[in-house]
Amino acid sequence: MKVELDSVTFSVPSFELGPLNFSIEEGTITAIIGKNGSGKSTTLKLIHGDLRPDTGSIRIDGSKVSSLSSSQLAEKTSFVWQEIYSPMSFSVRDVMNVSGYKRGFDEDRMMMALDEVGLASFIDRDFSVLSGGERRLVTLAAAIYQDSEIMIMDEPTNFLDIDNQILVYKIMKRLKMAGKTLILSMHDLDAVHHLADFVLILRNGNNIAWGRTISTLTIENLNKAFNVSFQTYDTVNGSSFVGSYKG
Amino acid sequence: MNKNVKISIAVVVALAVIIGGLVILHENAGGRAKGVIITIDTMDNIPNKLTRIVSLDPAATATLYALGAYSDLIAGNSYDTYPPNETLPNVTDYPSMDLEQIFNLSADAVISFDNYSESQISQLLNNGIDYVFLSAGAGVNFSVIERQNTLLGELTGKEANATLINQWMNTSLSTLRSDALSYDKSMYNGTPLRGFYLLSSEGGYWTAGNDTFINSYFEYADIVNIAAPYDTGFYSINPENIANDSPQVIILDDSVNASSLNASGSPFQSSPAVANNKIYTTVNNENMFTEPNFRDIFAIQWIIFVVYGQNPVLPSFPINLTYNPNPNEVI
Amino acid sequence: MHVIGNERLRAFVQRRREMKYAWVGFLFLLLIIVIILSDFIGSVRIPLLNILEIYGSQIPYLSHFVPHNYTSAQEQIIVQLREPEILGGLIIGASLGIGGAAIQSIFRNPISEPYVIGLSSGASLGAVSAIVLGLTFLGIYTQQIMAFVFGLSIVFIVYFLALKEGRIHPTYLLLTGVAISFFISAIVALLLFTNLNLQGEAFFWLLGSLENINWTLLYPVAIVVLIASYVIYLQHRELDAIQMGDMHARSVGVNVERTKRLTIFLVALSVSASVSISGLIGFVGLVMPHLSRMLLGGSNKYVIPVSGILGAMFLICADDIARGIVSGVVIPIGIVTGIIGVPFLLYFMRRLTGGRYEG
Repeated sequence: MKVELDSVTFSVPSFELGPLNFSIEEGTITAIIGKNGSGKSTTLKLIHGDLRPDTGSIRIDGSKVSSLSSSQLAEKTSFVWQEIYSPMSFSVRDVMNVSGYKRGFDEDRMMMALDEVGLASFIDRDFSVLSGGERRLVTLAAAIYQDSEIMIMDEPTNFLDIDNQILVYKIMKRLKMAGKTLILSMHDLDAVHHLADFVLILRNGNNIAWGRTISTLTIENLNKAFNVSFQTYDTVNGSSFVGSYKG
Repeated sequence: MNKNVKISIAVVVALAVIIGGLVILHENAGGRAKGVIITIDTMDNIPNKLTRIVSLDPAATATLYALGAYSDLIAGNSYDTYPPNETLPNVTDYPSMDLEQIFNLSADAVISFDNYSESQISQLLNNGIDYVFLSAGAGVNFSVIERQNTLLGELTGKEANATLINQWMNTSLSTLRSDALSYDKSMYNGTPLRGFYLLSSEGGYWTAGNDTFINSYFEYADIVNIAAPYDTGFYSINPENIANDSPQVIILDDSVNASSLNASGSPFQSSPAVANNKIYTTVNNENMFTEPNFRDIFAIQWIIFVVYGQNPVLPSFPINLTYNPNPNEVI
Repeated sequence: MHVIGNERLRAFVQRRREMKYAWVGFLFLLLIIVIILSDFIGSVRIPLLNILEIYGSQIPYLSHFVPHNYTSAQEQIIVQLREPEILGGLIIGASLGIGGAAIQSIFRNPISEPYVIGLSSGASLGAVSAIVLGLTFLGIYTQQIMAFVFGLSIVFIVYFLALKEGRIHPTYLLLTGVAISFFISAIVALLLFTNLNLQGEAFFWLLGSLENINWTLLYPVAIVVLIASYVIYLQHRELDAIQMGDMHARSVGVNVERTKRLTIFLVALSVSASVSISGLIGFVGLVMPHLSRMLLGGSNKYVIPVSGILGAMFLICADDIARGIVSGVVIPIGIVTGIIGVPFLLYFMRRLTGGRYEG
């Protein structure tokens, strides 16, 4: 499923986003990077239809997002939120069940999704007593269980330790292989470099650069996006980015 | 619609039908004719004579005793004081009536002065029990009390005694009135004599306004009720009106502490009644004062006695009773 | 990837679910027992055998085979007085419990209850104006009808005042409800002030009582509550989703606004109907959903029915105490639910939460 943004702008007092023009191909991973407050989450929410653009249009699979019902939207997209409301006395199973609203209850798929994030044995634990990282993984599993074509993730590796971050990257690759389209906001530039097919770089709501990762994730663009100057250095995994703190 | 939804809807509909059926069954239950509401205005439609009466009205209990119909009472209430030594079961279930006891006693009528809830009254009527409502609020004067006597007499087959009591009341009232007019009022400066009846000081100064039987006490005793011009019925009077009209005589319900009238800030503080200590508490007799029935004659007699220091002679009560209805004679 | 094959885990999960069904069944059985035992409580003592015979006589077809050794007064007491009062407790307690569970889900707020959307103040305005102004234009049940209509209308007013761009934000709805409630309460106070004589009667309505319920009142309310509760229950998955946030609910495919609208309307309908015949009974709607979450977890699949069962059971027991504790006095049930209910809640909260509310 393609996602197309055509001269999209959005503004609230003291913040303007856009215009954004790009289209996301099916089966790719797109990363949105930029400073806090640069408009990453806003862009994701615009794509998901939670916010309405002031001008321009956003289409998923050819149809305007604003004309889709929540039921149609849930079939096409799922969202991994940065923060999730901790509901009263919900078990992990209850949280998962909510994401099964559209497709109906399927014990096997639910267990598989939880197993993929390594939390199958947590199914009857109380969600609100889990650690921040565990909750993050459960919400990722819930999105996998929802099984939509497009998965939107707002900083999916927040609160996670290194091995779980790597687990999440593996899962993303697996999802991409399975033909899912992933759109995510991230801070870890190395991960973006290795995972993402496309990159959108934002600064104060302005589109600094958009395109294939190889040609877009350059020192020049990064220096424009952040108040630090970047350099690359070689590691065992190849080259890597680091910002030098010159202000 | 999936199968579960269909089944559940069927269950809900079935439940509704069953409950509906039960209600229709219950409405027709008992097989007794529905009871009726009886007041002094519906006197013409009186059914059979009542023999199993529940009285929730202490005024009616006293009247039934005086009529000679006390044996028709099967239950009383917690406010009954006359006749004394009552042995009837008490069916007051504050703030309502104890319907279980009333049903269990197979009552054929309930007499009440207060508006019980509509649904309790309809429970009585649906189960074939008549409801006799005797008003005690605004609009009840001595002629209404006499009509209530007549109604109770007719309901119990004691019409003749009701007539005797009413004749006695009329004679007594004219005696009291003419005696009161003739008494010397020079001990109070200025006429007409201004009086005030303080029923309760809880949450305001509760008193009896125009169109009440207590207001009639003042009229027969030749006293002007200062609360009459401001409102009808029983109400809480603005203290400014009390201070402005400065009563010369105050009748106190025994629930009110007399010394509180003299407290600073009291609207009575500057009144001649307080200055001259013309405050009279209805000790031991307060039920006689606050229940609308034939014993109110003795209430007027008491007021005249305390206010003028005179003792008007009343005709003797026409019916011979074990317990003297006149508490003034006991004193 | 190997856990999937773990049969022991599967069995454990299966057992947990069966345990929950067993709990619901047990609570339901307990409710039936409470209903039957409550029929023995009252100011007139009726022997057990006679009560059982009266029950039998009420069952069609079976009634011919049951001996009739009871008096007609006993039958009247059981059938006309105790049964409607106890079933009234059942219906009203259930509607408050279920309404509380649904409203807490919508507001995602553990201290909300059906009354916060303006329902209680609306119902008291209706009832108090009927009492104070002496209105009888709708027959002998004017007061109940007025309470119902006003309760429902104030909820609509609150709802439309809180509506912003076609969406209802929980905090905004809550604040609007509280504001309107204060406004209406001021009008109620003004009405009472104009006629102090009737303060007593209105006061007793405000404290709530099951005593005045008869079959004629119970029947329409029971139908409304049954159907509304059932449709609320059908929304349990949507309400679960809304508990995790409106945006999340929308992202999993829930029509959030429709669910909120429908649920608020149904809760208003069912609780207004209940309150119109009982007066204001607090505490049940606030606490029973929490108790059921402590017992069976937070999924509305269990919270809604169990809150209903617990609410019914609690209210029937509270009514037994209200009737039985002081002879000659029926204590308003609102007083009993507060005095008996709060220590009971505090006890259970310490015993059963197991850290759930600390996260």
